[in-house]
Amino acid sequence: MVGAFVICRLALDRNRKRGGIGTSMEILIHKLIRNGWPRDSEQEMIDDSLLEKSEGSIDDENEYTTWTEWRLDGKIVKRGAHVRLKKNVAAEAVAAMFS
Amino acid sequence: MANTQALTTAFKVQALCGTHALGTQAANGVRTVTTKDVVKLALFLASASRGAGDTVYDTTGELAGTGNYTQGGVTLTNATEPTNDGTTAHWTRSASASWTNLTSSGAFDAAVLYNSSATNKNEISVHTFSSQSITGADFTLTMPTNNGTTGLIRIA
Repeated sequence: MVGAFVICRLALDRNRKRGGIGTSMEILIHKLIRNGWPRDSEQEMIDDSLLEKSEGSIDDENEYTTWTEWRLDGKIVKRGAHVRLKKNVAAEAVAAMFS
Repeated sequence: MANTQALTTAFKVQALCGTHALGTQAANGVRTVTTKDVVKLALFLASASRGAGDTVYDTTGELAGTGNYTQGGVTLTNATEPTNDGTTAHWTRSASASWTNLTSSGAFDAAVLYNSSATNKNEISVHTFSSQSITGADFTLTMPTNNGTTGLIRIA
């Protein structure tokens, strides 16, 4: 099983403070590290089932925006967005009348 | 402090002076524009205060050059010539701007369009949207439909 790329250093550090390997989280993270990737790399593969995924959108006169975010223990570890602008900026051209 | 969506006043003046070439034009007896200017788009923090009074692009309030963001922003593909829809002239860049695997240095809610070919990096416009923070993922900014009602820049 492979999941999303996430910044999981926080999880590793937290588990190390607890006394090193011993939690299923850390074992799983280590199992999913790609071959050749350094273990201290900030980006590693973890099972996305560990993450809480949420999506949202804004649709108003100015924009239609969608975003997706993933949380690990309540902290955002990955968040992307797509903003589609609707509203332009305009200048009014005026030709003066001779009077 | 806040960013405000606007066509800069300086741009309006410069449009009358022929400062910008967002498209090409045939010979008009005085000058011929065969090369379009390079237009770039940069992202600005929600705490910045870009708006109609801006004259040139600068890094004040821009995202820091970290997390796969390069200050100065990205060059926009400009394959579509300015044209008109009824009595309204309009121009919209022809492709979205995107940043891959971005981690923004803070929440941002504005994109500044500027003429990168101009010596002074003249600012054209400011476009605002809902505040976004991106963490290790892609961010895409798609332009509105290019017509006389929603085109990115319109002169009505």
